[in-house]
Amino acid sequence: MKKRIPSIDERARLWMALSTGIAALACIRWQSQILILVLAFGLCLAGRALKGVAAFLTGAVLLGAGLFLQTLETGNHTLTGTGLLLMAVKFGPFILTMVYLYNTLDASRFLRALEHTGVPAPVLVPLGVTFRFMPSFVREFTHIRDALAFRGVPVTLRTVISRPLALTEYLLIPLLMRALLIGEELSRSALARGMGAPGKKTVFRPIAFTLKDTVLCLSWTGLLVLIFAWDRATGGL
Amino acid sequence: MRRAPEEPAFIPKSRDIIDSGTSRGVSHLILAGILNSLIVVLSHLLYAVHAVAGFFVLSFFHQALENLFLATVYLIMILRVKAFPLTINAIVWGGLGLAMGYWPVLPVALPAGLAADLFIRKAGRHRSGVMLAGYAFYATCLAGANGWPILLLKQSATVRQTALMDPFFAGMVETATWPVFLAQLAASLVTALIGGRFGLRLIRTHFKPAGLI
Repeated sequence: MKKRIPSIDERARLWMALSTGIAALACIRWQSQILILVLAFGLCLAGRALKGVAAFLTGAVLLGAGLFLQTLETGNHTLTGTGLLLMAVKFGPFILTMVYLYNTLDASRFLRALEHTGVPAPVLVPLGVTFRFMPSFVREFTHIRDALAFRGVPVTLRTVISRPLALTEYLLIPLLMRALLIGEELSRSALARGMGAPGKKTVFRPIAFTLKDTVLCLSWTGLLVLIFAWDRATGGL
Repeated sequence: MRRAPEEPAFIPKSRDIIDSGTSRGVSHLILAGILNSLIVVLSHLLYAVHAVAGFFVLSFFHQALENLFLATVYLIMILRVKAFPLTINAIVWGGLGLAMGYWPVLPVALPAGLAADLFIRKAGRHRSGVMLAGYAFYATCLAGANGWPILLLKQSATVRQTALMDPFFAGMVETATWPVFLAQLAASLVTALIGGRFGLRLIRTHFKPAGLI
């Protein structure tokens, strides 16, 4: 069961996550990006996404350690090393906010909330299904890869280079067959629950963008705008 | 593939389900979501493979590489999803870009997807040449969607200052020239056509006999 901050609207969660990623990309100075990274950490910790935070920190420490060792060995840090670290700082907030959303966002409530806001079904349904099924396809891919390995066709760089067409066929066909079958099953399930039925859907727990959500969104956005303004004022441009 | 296959009944004739007012449109949207999910996962897997292997030059031609391997998925989406499949794909990629704070994908991908869908709808969805042309056009526009801001906004203060701060980004900006951009588009177009031909062969060999297309 997902741990979540109680009673924050899903749209507010999404806005906090997206605005953090956008701010990180818009800021130029690495000091501002570090600040935003710290905010993103805070968001993850508030959402109790501890495993994701731990994994990110481990990766960052390893990257930093590699750069430090390179500096010791060669006397100066290489372009690639510095570049990778700066990319990690720039895209780190986006990764952390995705971890936060994965841990805290209730997908069905989120889709209902968007539906209440007036987002049309042709946008809502595909987006919702896309994000819902990404982990499933990663699992399907690993199963197919293991099955191919049993049959003597390991999915390695060597096979990718030496037999690209054959490997594409062996991987794509089962994945696509599964996708089409899952699509059929999911559609039957959705239709049986009246997904395409006309009329407004009811929800078990009321969905409403309260004053608390508004204050939270405005405060968060204000903080990010302040960091952005400081970035620009102190030599970002 | 010149004739539209007859669509079998999707659900049994049930008075209750029919009376609820449900329609087949939802099933197409759900299938679009699932196939888009597959596209996103495979695209990122491909990126991870060539990034880990150290083929950094492929980062500039990632869309071209993707076209070779993922054309089959796009073509199946065009064949099975009636409701503007490439437009939905553009919304998904644009949405993902926005989630990362990268806004330039949506303004290019969305009109391109819409144009490709309207062309395919008008010219005949089950004609191989039409599908290939529509997909190749859309895939080329996707390749342009990622690269156009770095090329066209190169002289902007934001890009110049970011390049000063970040040596990696500076390398990217320096490489983003008109010949490289045009090479990206050309590579994307050619690989979309090649990948599309391969995809059509796979569809004919596997999916048509299985009755899925």
